[in-house]
Amino acid sequence: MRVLLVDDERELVSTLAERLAIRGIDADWETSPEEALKKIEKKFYHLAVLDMKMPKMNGIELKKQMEIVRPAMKFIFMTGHGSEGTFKAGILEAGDNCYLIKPVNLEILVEKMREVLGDQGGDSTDSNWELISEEGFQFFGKMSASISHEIKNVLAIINENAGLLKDLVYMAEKGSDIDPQRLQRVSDLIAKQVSRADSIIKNMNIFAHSVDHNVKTVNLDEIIATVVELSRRFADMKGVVLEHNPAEIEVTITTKPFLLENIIWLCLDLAMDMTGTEGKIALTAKKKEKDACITLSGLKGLAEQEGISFPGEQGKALLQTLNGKITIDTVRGQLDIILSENQ
Amino acid sequence: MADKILLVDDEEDFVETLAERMRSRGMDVSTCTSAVEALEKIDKKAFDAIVLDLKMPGMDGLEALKRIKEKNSKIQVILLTGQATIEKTIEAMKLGALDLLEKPADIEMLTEKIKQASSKKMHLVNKEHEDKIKKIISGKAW
Repeated sequence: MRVLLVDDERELVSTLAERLAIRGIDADWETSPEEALKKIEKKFYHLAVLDMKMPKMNGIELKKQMEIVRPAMKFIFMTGHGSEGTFKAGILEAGDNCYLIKPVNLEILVEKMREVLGDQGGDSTDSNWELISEEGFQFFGKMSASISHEIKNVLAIINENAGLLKDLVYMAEKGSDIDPQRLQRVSDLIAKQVSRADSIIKNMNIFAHSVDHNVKTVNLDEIIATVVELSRRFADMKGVVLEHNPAEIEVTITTKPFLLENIIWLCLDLAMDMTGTEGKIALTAKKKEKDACITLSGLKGLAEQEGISFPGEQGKALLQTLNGKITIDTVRGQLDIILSENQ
Repeated sequence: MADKILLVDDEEDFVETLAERMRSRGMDVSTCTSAVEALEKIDKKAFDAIVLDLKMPGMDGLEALKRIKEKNSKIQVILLTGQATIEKTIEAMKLGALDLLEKPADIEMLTEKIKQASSKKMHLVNKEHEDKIKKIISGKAW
């Protein structure tokens, strides 16, 4: 369970977080409501424990603002001011089981937390889905933006060639000769760009249809090819070459295609910064007994990294849902995504 | 004298076609496909204006703009971009870009901007000369 504690008393809130951490609860803390709001925008929390009285914004106001960002978030209030008025207001807002008087007994707080969260205390499917959908939307948005950018480049070239034709027509009207070979070159350039746009759009279409089925039996090399094509522009920008080496024997797996594409992208995104001087990533798929494995190699820069925190929370949630894991071999410069059948 | 223009875009087919059209409008156009090349070129030739793509592999347009301005603050830079966001536009203007145009760009508008760029550069160069002369005159005991 991930918890955010907000209280303007730094000593209290930091100690509380530390004590919760000892009990295996992942707790972050903030002393200002503004910072707390910024934090929940970036990170998912199951629950927030809020002080009722803080400068600038009280706990109830903060809860309302937080609910706009994270509608599913749960709340517990704490107060040092046990006046009847605040107590009633707190109960009204949070229900009597979510309202604690300071000093807070830690065991009671933990108990209340579990109570408030009900079934979704741990890494439940629900919270995973919140992380996965957030990551998924970002992934889809990023890819769509990149594709639209590339199509714009195609249009810009076609536009210049249309303009060039117009210039040539104008010159012909003024009496200049038109060179047929010059016209041929314009036609070739337009055809080249049309075929470029066609392959971009075909891949976009395959990508868009990967959300059609939640679970599907797929050829791993086809999935890799889709992600590699989507990532090519990002790789170009970083001066990295992506090399997909399809397996000789088809590797199939029953999995969640879109989520798999998402995790491959997360790995590629990391890998593109880890190629060292060589600037090349090779991707291969293979069967490992019952599991399927996607290997990204050429990550020479991994050796120089200290303590890579990868995958992040979103990646972990994706892997859990995909029934997969990631292993990183810093010495060989290799990253493996290992997948078990996911029915 | 023809305006001396440098076109920088990683899409080779784009720069070459645009260059041809600008040449037929009487401009003296050079091309290159990376920011690094562009920086080398401005060392060798004096350009009135540079048309620069914002997104390029390696060094991007904004970084290139910064370095061009460091080398020669008088060169006018017009940025071209696929999608012009307000943030990027502001950043570009802060770094001293003359303008930011969205692709596909209309050549008449681009030509108009280039004329503006070249007259602005001319003004800056004249002003510099004027200042130099003033300094010489005031420094002399006539």
